[in-house]
Amino acid sequence: MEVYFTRLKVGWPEPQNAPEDWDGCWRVYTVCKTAKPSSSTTLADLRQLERKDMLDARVSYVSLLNKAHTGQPLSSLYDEKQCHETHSFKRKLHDNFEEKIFRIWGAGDIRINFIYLPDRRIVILKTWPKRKDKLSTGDKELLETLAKEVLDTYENHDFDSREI
Amino acid sequence: MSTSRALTNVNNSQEDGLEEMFASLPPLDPFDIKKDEVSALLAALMAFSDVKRTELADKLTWKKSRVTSVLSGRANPTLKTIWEFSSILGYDFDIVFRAFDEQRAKQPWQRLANLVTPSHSEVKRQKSFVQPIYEAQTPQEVVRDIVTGHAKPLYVSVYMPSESGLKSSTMIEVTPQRALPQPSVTLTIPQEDHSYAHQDH
Repeated sequence: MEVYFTRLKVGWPEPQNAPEDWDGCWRVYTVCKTAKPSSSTTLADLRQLERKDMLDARVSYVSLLNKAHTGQPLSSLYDEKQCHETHSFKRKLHDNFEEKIFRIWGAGDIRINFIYLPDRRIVILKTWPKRKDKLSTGDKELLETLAKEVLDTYENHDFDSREI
Repeated sequence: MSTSRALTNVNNSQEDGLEEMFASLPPLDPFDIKKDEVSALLAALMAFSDVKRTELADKLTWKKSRVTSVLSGRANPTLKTIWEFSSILGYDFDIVFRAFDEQRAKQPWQRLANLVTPSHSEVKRQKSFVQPIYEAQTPQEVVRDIVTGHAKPLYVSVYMPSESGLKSSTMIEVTPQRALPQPSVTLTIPQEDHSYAHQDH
C-alpha cells in the first residue's frame, strides 16, 4: 500500500511560533493512508491513547521538533537510552541495504518509532505507550510493514507529490 | 475546558489533522516549550562541538546525571549553568530579543551551513535512494555534511602537487584496493568554483 506524508504539527501556544525551517533542519512527517491529513496513522495512534499518554505524546513531539530544528544528529541530541535503533530489516530488492527503525523514548511511557528518509526527512511510523522495553515479534512485524510502505512510496514517487 | 469535554472533542475530530486534535487538549505552557528549546540548543551546541555527554561532564566536573538533567528539557537551568555549559565548549552567548513573529537568531551550525553550497550528496540522494558507497565531494560539501550530521565514516583526499601537472578538469581514476562490488570511478579535478563531475565505470 502506498501512503502520503504530512508534516508533524502540534500547534505552538500563541503567541509563540514553531521554529522556521532552514536548509539543514530535519523535517518530521507522519504517514497518511489517503491524501487527507485526517487519515494520519499518528492521529489514529493518538486516539487509542489514554489522556495522560496523549499529553505525554504531545510533549514528546514538541521535544522532537525542537531537536529536529537544530539539524544536529538526533542520536547526539538524545541520550543513548532515549534514542536508538530498535529494529532492522532487509528488503527483497535491496538485499545489501539494511533498513533501520529507530525509537525515541519520550515523556512518560511514550515511544516514538521512526525511520530516516533521504534529504533530511524523518517519518514517524508509530507512537505508542510501551510499558516493556523489548519489542514483541508482532511489534516488529507491524513496524516493518509500515516502514516498507513508506520506503516503497518514497522510491516510486517524487516525495513532493505525496506530501499533503 | 473539562477533561470529559476535551476527550469528546478529540473523539469527534475525525476529519481534522493532528494540530486540530492537539488544539482540543489543554494548551501547552509556553515556558515549558522555551525550556525544551533551550535544552535542544544546548544539546545541539554539544553535538556541533563534537563533545559527548560523559566528556562534557568530565570537563565541567559535573555528574553525568546533571548534564542529562540540563538537556532533558524539563529542567530550568540558571544563567550560570548555561554560561558554564557554553563557555566550556568555547562559546559565549547573548540574550537576543525578537518579536514573536520574527525569525530566531541563527546559531553557529546554521551560519556555517549557509556558507557552503548545497551538498552534492544530498542532491544525489534525491535522485537515487540507495546511498552510494563512494562519491566525489568538494571540501565545502564535506564540511556541510559534517555539520549537518551526514559525515561519512571515511574520507579519501586527493593531493595535487603543483609540479604534478594536474589541472582543473584533469581526469583521475580512483580504484578500490580491496575487492568491492562497486566499480571504480573516474573523478574530475574540481574547477576553481569547486564544481566537478564524476562518472561511474
